[in-house]
Amino acid sequence: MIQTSDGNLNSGVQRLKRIAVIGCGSLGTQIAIELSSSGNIVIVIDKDPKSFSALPTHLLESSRVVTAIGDGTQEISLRQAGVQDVDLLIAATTRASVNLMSGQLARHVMRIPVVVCLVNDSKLLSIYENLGIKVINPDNLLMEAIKSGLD
Amino acid sequence: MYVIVVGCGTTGIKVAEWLMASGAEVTLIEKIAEKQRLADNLLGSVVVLGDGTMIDTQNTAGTERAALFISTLSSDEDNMLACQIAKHHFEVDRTIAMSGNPDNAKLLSLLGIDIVVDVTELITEKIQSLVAPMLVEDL
Repeated sequence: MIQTSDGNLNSGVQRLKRIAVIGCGSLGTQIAIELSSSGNIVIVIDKDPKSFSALPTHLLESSRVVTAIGDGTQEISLRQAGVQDVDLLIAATTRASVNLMSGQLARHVMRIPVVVCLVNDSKLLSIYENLGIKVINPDNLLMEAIKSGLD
Repeated sequence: MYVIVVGCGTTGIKVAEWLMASGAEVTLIEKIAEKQRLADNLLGSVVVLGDGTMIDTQNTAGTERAALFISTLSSDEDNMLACQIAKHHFEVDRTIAMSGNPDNAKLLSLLGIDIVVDVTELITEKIQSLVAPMLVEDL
C-alpha cells in the first residue's frame, strides 16, 4: 500500500485522514464528497461501478476520492481496496445487515480504529455500541432536522 | 424447549417440522406474506409475519424465552444480524446461522454466533465423498 503524505515529520501539521466508505448510493456519495473536500483521502467501495457516476470528476482526478469495485462484506475486497490502513470506515449501503457485517469485519478482523454503520433502526444502537461499532440512524437525524425546522 | 426459526424456505420448514416432531415448541418468522401464509397453514399457526432481523419482530415471536434461535435466511448478513439481536438483546443461550460463503462462516463464528452451518462446505464434502470412490475405480 502507498502511504499518503502525512505530517508525521512535522508535528505541527495534522495528518491527512484516510477514510473508507462502503456503498456509493446517495448517502455514500455525499459522505465521500464532504469528507474529501475537507482534506481527507476517501476510498469508496461499491459492487456496482455505475454507482460511482455521481462522484465529481475533480475529486477523482485529484485522487481525493479513490473508487474500488468490490463487496464491502468480504475481507479480500476491502484489502484489495487498501482499507487495511484507514483511520475510519463508514458503512453506508442501504442494508443495515450489510453495513453491520462490513463494519464488524473492519473493526474486529482488520482492526480499523473507528467504524461507523448507518442503520435505520435505533433499537440496534445499544447492541452494536457494546460490540465496538458506532451506529448512526439517518432517518432519526432527518426527523430531528425537520422537527427543529418546525420549531 | 422453545425455539425460534427465521425463514420459511425449504430449510426453515424442514428444521421446524423436525423440531416439532421432536417435541420442541417452535415459532417461525417469515417476512413475505405469501410464504408466511403457506407455512402457517402447513405447520399450524406458528408463523409470525415480519422481518426476523428486527427487534420488534423477534419480540412479537417471544424470542426472550427461547433457548435456541436458528436463522435460515439466504443472506449471510441477515442471518448474522438476526442471531446477534437474539444473542445480545434477548440473551438467547444458543444461536445457529446458515452461511453460504465459507469466508462469511468464519466471520460469523468469530462474531459470537454459537454454531455456523457452512452450507458450501457441507455440499462440497458430500460431493467429495461420493466422487472419491469413482476416482479410485479409475486408477
